[in-house]
Amino acid sequence: MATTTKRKNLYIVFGVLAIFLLSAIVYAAATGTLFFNGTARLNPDLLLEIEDATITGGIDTANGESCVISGDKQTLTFTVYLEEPNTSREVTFDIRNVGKVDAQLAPLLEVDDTEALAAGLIITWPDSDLEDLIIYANTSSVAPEGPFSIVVEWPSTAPDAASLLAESDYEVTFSASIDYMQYVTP
Amino acid sequence: MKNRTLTLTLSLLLSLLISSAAYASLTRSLKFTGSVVSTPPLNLELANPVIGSMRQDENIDLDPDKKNLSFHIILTQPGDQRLITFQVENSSSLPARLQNLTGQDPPSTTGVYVVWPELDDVLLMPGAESPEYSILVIWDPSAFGAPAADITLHASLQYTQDAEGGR
Repeated sequence: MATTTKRKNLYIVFGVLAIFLLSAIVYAAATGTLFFNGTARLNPDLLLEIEDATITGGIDTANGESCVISGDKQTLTFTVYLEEPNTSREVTFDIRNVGKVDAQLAPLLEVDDTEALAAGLIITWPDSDLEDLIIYANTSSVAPEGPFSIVVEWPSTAPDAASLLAESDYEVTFSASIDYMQYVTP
Repeated sequence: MKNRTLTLTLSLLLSLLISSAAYASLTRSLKFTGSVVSTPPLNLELANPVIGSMRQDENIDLDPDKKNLSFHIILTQPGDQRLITFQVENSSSLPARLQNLTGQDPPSTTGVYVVWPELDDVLLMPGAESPEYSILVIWDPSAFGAPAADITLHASLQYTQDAEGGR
């Protein structure tokens, strides 16, 4: 009696397994999946560069003047020599769009002029000329927009400016970087 | 490929089961009765993949078993878009029905969105080729200022044998 029950149970187990396996085979054979895999590279190729930077009237290297564009052409560092109150120096530069998309300028970044201002020097940055200016791909800011100018002035109202500058009595060094974003026609 | 492996494995298991039962019935005088169901495999393949106005360094490719379509596109500015077109071919002897296409959209911060095709419930008779379907990838025109980035796009399309036999 016990043997018959065992056999019956065996039949049931085999039957269930067979149905399960058969269903799996039928399902596997009757369905499938197709796959789509992609990569979208956003490559705005947005790049402006500073170019043609100089000091009006020539760079007085003998008195420590310099005007240097960084290797990535994003930062301009310059040193001007002011001999006495009521004198000024002007640094000029252009900006070229070497990317493939149009760009819109913002005011200059990383302007370190705290010490000079504290000493009474007056620095005029070209922010109003730069802000929102559009430079189209493969063009430069040359006239009528450029060149842009930065003027450093030792006014007569600040006779002690030289003595207040820590680094050197007559040499003032500044550094500024361009800031911009992609421009899209509204 | 997975389905074929699964089918083979399960067939082997079933054969083993039947053999065991047959052996048991021979040695212990048990009777075993059964039936065999023959199911020809359903097979759909992707075909004719194209990137509209494909640029240099972009590519599109089908793997050898035509189950995976991979593509690489380059968008250079907001408003840029690419249309990837393809067809589905029923290379089996069974009518098939496309179930759905489940696509994964890129994060909204990327400014890129994808318009996946509507394929749900499309019937494909044996040997038939579907109409041309398209995947549209767009860099949102208002999403300027986005940094350079690689965005991964995934989707899968399920299909099944048509329960009504293509009617």
